[in-house]
Amino acid sequence: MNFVFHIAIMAIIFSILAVGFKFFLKLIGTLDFSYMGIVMFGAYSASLIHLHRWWWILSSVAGAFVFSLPFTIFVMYLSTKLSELYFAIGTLTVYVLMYQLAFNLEFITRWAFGLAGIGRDVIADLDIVSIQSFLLFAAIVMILLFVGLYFFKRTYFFRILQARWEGPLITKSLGIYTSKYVLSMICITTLLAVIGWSLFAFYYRYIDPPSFWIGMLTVLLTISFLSYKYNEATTFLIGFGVMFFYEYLRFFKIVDPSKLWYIREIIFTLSIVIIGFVVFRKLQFARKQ
Amino acid sequence: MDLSYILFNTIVYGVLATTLAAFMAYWKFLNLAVAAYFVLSSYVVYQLVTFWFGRGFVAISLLLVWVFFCLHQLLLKLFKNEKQRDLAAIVITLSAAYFLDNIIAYFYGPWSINVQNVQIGIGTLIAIFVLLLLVFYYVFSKSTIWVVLKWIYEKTAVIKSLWVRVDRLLQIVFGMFLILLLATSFLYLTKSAIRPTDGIFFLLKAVGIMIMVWVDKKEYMFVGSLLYVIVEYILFIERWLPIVYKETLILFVILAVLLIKPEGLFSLAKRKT
Repeated sequence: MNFVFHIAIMAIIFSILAVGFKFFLKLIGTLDFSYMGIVMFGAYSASLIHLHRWWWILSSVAGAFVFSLPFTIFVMYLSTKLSELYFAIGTLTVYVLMYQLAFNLEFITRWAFGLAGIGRDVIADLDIVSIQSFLLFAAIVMILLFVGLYFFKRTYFFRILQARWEGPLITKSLGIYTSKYVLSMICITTLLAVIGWSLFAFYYRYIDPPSFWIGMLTVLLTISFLSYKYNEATTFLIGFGVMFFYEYLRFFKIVDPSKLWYIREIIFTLSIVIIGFVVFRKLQFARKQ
Repeated sequence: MDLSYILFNTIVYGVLATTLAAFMAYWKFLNLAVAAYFVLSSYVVYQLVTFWFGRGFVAISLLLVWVFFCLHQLLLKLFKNEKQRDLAAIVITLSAAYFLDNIIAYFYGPWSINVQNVQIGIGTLIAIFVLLLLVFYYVFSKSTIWVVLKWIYEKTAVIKSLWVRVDRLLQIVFGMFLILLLATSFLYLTKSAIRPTDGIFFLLKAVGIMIMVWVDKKEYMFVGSLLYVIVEYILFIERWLPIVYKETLILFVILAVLLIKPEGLFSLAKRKT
């Protein structure tokens, strides 16, 4: 049963990340690889705050969100300055830069050994040690986030964001100054990125740079593209299916453990290539081009 | 100053950047799998030099080359004239690159390989460098074939009316770049070692030099590469900065050029970003 709980927790984490990734993709229409950099920075910030200051999970995540905001603003600046292709290259560069710094700044990140000993105290004396209680905590966080997004999508604020994307000239002619709306949208994706992988850090009580490498990006892209046209609940279900497959290979030793990593990456990258060929032509993002 | 280091790296990065720029210019998409193909070529070369045709791995290696070729053809066919091709190509080729890296790692393991029993002297390196510099300068700025390629997408009807077989021409040029990458990977293995995971670093170097020079100035890719390698050498090999940050330099170059002079250092024109 613990296997199912584990899959559910991983599905929650990846569905939160995928919703954030899709949010940007749908409203700006281009690929933002720096999202992974923000995920990395947010998770490290939350873990370090928690480890060194012994703040609780929630306050650590809030602190990490505040620290991640300069990246958010930088990405917003890039999105206004660069076209789709160059923006994708620029954000890919930011992602790899974050990864390399995570590896090289060993006095902060402890190199490939990673940060260990992260606690699970939610608030005051409430400590979620068991996998069941952590699942409950993660599920509550996810439900709160998704319900919040559901209501946000029905606000005037969100409609302006959509209008800005679909008819930029119309919004301009109406005298609507959209920068603050874009900033708020990027703040939401940052919040989802920080919460998503902070949950991962608190779940495993450990993070290291290799866990943020392209393998993780391929899993995120797979879930994001498969669930592109669906709502948050369906994203979670798709995430559950993908994570079940992902972890099933490891838990039940279907393949040689020394080759497991390669097999998994081969399967997922091949799936992205297939999804890319089959689904990309039907998806309606990148309409600006 | 180690001239051998500078020439060797200039040739490798220059060829990769030129290939990437050629893809961008003539096939109209950014092929991020170019560096993965370079790594794959290195393993093919290593296999041929070390074991000759005695092992089954050669067949697998050649099969992988064929897979790469097919992938490229599929990308061209399926996304022909489609506006979504830019982003689709980024996702597909990046995934394909990582796919190839993992396939190589699956068969050969994560360890590095080289063929250092073959020695290439400084005189040969200088000759290769000068030859490539002149050849690229000639073909990209003086020859007729590149004029035809340049107009393939913009004046398709005119080019077709001249009875030029566009698909065949593109395939021949693509094949030439593959052979060039194969030869460069051989050169690389004689001086250095390569691992399956190195592809991303070659890719970033190629992208960085391409952005630094500008995609339309392919004839200057080697000059850009030389400039970058000299800066890298002074900063890291002369030990002014910690060597662990050597691969980080190109990332700062990419971001700086995109933010400060997005039209490239070698361009007088204003690029639309």
